[in-house]
Parts: sequence; C-alpha cells; structure tokens
Amino acid sequence: MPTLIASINDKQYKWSFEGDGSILLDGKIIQADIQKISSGRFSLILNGRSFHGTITRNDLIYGIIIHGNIYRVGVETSGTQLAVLRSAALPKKHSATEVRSPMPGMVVRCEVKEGERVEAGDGLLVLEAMKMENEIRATKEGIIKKVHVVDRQVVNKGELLFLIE
Amino acid sequence: MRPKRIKKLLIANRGEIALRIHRSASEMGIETVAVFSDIDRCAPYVFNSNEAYPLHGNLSRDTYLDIQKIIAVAKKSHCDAIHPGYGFLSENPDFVDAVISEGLTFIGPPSSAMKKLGSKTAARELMQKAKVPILPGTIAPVKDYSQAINVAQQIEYPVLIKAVHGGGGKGMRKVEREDELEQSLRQAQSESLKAFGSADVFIEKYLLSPRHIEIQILADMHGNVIFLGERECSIQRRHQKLVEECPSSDLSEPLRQAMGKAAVNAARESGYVSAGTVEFLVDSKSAFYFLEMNTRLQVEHPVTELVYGIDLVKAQIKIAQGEPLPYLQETVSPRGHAIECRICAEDPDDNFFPSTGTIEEYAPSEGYGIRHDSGVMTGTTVAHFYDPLLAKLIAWGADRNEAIKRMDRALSEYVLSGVATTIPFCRFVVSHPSFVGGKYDNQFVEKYYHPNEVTPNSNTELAASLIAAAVHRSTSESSNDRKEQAANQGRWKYNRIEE
Repeated sequence: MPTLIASINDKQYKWSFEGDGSILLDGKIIQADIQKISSGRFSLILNGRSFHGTITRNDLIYGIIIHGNIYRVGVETSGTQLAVLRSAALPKKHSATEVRSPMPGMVVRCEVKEGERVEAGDGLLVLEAMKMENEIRATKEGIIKKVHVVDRQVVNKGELLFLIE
Repeated sequence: MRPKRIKKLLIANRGEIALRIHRSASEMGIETVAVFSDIDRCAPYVFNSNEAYPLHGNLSRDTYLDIQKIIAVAKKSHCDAIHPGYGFLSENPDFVDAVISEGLTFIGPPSSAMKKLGSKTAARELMQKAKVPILPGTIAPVKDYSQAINVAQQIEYPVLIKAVHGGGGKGMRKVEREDELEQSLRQAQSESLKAFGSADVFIEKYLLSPRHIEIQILADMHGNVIFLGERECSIQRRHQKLVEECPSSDLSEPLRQAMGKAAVNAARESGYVSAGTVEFLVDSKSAFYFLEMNTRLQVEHPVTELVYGIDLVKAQIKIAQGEPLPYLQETVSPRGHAIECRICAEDPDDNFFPSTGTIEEYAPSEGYGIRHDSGVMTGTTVAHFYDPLLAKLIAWGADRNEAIKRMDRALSEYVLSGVATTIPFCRFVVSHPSFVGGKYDNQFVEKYYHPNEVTPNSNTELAASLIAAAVHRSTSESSNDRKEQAANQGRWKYNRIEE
C-alpha cells in the first residue's frame, strides 16, 4: 500500500494502512483504532491514549481540532512532489501587484480611484466585517491600475480588490 | 409607584443574548417576542421564543437598528415592554424615548441618564461632581492645538486623544512625544468626524499597562443602589474583551469597596436606574480612574450572576416593573469564582480576522459548574453582518484555581467546526502562567500571544497526523476506486470512517 506522508509544521509522519487492518508509523506497527462519530468527528485511541478530533477544513491541508487546539496537517502520497503539493495547498503568496481581501466583509468605502498614485501604507479601502471596520492599506507604492470592487459590495476572503502597478 | 406587571416582552436583539433574555422572561411567566433578519430566521432564539416576526433585510440598520420597524412589531404583537440586550439600540436614548412615547416599558435606564453618560466629556464632568476619580486631562473638548500642547505638557506624555462621542478605538490616538501631537490631533478629529459626525476630541493621560476592572451596579426607582463586586476584563485585543473573571485575581478588599462606592456614586449622580456597569482603569499602584459607564447589560454579566447568585435579567425586569431591590448591600455576598471565555468567529492564527461559514460540527461542553450561553447550532450560517460572538462559555469554581482548571477542561471538550473560533486562544490564556498566577494587565495579548510560537503537544500532533492521513485515505479512495474500497470494507479499521 502506498504510504501517506502527513506533515505538521516541519515534522513528517509516514503512515501506512495494511491489508490486515494494521497501521504502521514509519514502518513500525502502532496500536491505533480510529472510529468515525459523525461526518467531521473522529475518535482515535492511539497507544491507549484517547483523542477526539474534528475536521475543520477538507482541503489539501486538513485542520484537525483536538482538545480545543487546531493542528494543520498536509497529507500526500509518497512519491509525489511534497513541495509542489504544499505550495498549492498553502495560501498563495499573491503577486505584489494584487491586493486581496484578508477577510470576508462589505466594502464601506473605496478610498482610491484608478490612476491614482499611492505610497506604501496608504489606505485603499475600508472593509466592514462583524461590526468592525478594517482599513486595507497598500503594501507598496505604485499606481492603482484597476479597482475591482465598488462601495457596499460584499467580498470573500482572498477576493481581488486592486491591482497596483 | 404602582408596580406594572410585564406580560409580553419584545427582545430587540439576536444571537445568544436574545435567547438568554428569553430564558429569564420565560421563567417569570412572561411571553416573549423575537425579531429576526433574513439570515437569522432559523437561529435558536427565534424558535425558542413564543412569537417571532421578520424585520426584512440583513444589514443592521435595516433590521436590529431600525427603531420604527421594531416598535411596529411591538405594537402589532401587543407587547408591553422591550428589552434591548447589548449593542444595537441598547444605548440609544432616541430609542428609549420612542419606546416610552408608545406607552411601552423600556427595560433599562431612563434616556436622561443615557444621554449624560453617552458623551465622554459630559460623563467626566459628572464623575468629577460625584467625586469619582477621573484620568488627568481635559474635561471639555479640546479647543485648539495650543490648548492641547499645554494640557499634554501638564499631564506629561504619553497622552491619549479620544473622540467625545467615540467607541471601539475609533478617533483614538496615543501620543508619545510633543512632535507627534499636532498630526495626531488632526487625525483623531477627522476620524471622529467621519465615524461619529462630530470632530470633538479630548485629552487624557495614557496609562501604560493598566488593568480593566468594572463594577456591576443595580439601581431601582426608589433610590436604592447596590454594587455586585467587580469583573476583571483585562484580556483584550483591539479594545475587545475576550476573557473575563469575577472576582478580580488581584484586588484588595479596601480597593474593591472604594471602587464599589465610586460606582454607586456615579449611578446616583446620573439618576441611573436598572443594571449598569462602571468601567475603571487600575494602574500598577492600585489607583483607579473612571473610564466610562455602560448603560446596559454587559456581554460578560454571567460571571457576576454565578458568583452573586443573582439573575441580572430578572433583576432588570423587576426594576422596570417598579419593584424595589429585594437585597441590601450588606446581604449580597460572593461565592466562589467564575470565568467567561468568548467563543467568537475569529481566527486567532490569522490576526483575529473574522471567519464566516456554516457551523458543521457542534457539541459544546457540559458538566458540573459549566454554563453555556449560545446563539448558534449545527447548520447556523455565520455571516459578516453582525458581531462575531457565537457563544459564551462560563465556568464556576469554588475558588479561582478550580474555575481555571474547569474552564480548561471545558474548552478542551468543546467541538465547533465550519468557522474558525477563539477556542485555541482561550485555552492559551487559561493555561498561561501569567493568567494562572493572577498577575496580568491589558497588554497580555500583545505581550504573550504569538500563535506561531505555541509549541504543540507531540502526542496530540501524532494523533492529528493520523486522523488527517486516515481521512485523506478514505476520501481519496472513495473518489478514486470505490470498487476496491467496497471489497476491503470491514477489513481495515480505518475503513469504518466510510461506514
């Protein structure tokens, strides 16, 4: 069976699931019993220790909440390019010319127009989410090439707001 | 005055506080009427109330802030009283006047007291009269730059410029040196004008690492005012409280009595009636200063309820019915310790940014000494329109140590997925030596919370990696090769995931 490589931060755990039901960690048999409680909740007894895990994100990166703390785990089959998968799964480093929304919310007011020159740190737009107003600022100087949003527009996290050239 | 019994109550709020008010009203034999925005149609507070009416729309100003719509529902449903909860219209004197002019009872203070306390400069003036200590600075709004420079020199830097009609950190500027003053003053004035429609600002001394301690008071219509101890609310981020406790871990009895007396004086001087909270800053030398008075129920009121054994919503309703307080200052006494953690839809790993989505898994903590006030359930959509508070987890213990251990236990049981929450942050707080030791101030989050540096437990990390691997395996199998999976079913323990 192919081995699955689960990585948390800098650590890697190699898991194999054998045909006889046994589970191997780094090639060695480990006492583990994992049961599904509901679509996103699991009970795991690992070497006699009991864990209750809840999945928050089912992307390439799994968010596993155990006992109130969240663990972000990347999983891939051995042999695939770890770096490629991880970079695809992690939030994309947006090119310097794109300004994206760091959170979901509603545009309260756009503070710049296309063609306007901005310095790093200048306010571009005020976004309201859950009662709080947050100012999105320019991270570099340049000319506003394109404004992708209008006042009162609802935006998602990661949505493109501006292009700065 | 003849007591006026309330029979039917409109709750002009949403979420956990609407449900919390319903519970007390219901136990008093009062019928409740809920109002809801479009996305709140299926919220637990709506289906637990006796009647419910739509406000149509989702924006706060089209719904929970719309005085006309709310009063129309109250009239249509023959309510005789309105409880505003916290936030929204709760501190709006125009709302109070509108409610009263329709012949309804407002569960809260008179609008006159609200107006006096709503302006920060008017409140400072009032406190000075009531001999409640205030931070050094200007009483009236700052006239010009030259006055600002004089005041700042007098009280010494750092100073804080604050909007007279402000809140939530807007129109606020900390000034460290004289050469920053002119620009900061201009910025604070323009921000204040934009946000609150008035450029009025004032200056007060900036305290470096104060504690935020507030006194709960109850005042009836017959001139009786008592205080129910304090709440320590120093664990804050961007002026938002995150963890609160009662009593404070570090307050001497003489200081508690002095602050309580000051709070009672503040309430008397403003003609206050109902439950209210006087917020103070306490410096490292245990000097305390009036910050503001909140003329409503506080989010963190449950910690006081658990320690003093008094239901504050019932107390508010009885006061509004004209009943005298059934207790004297000498007859109320604290018992044990309580801590509240706010479960908010915010991502502590990502700058506490709001997190929206649908709640998938939901199993809040239970057990002895745990109270859970929630506004959500499985399937609830968390949108960006309103406050991020989903629920409040409150732990009571015979002493502070037990309350802390119980809170940590309850947080580790708490299951909520679909949106990011502040649960991991709360666990960090209640296990931090500075919090456990009871010595902390409002710089706690900035000083100690660096999510990337939190060292994970290696056993738990191993467990997380195995769960992720097993889920990954079963989902990729189900999409890739259902046949093979069917053949293997039951043979592999982890395959039970698919059953």
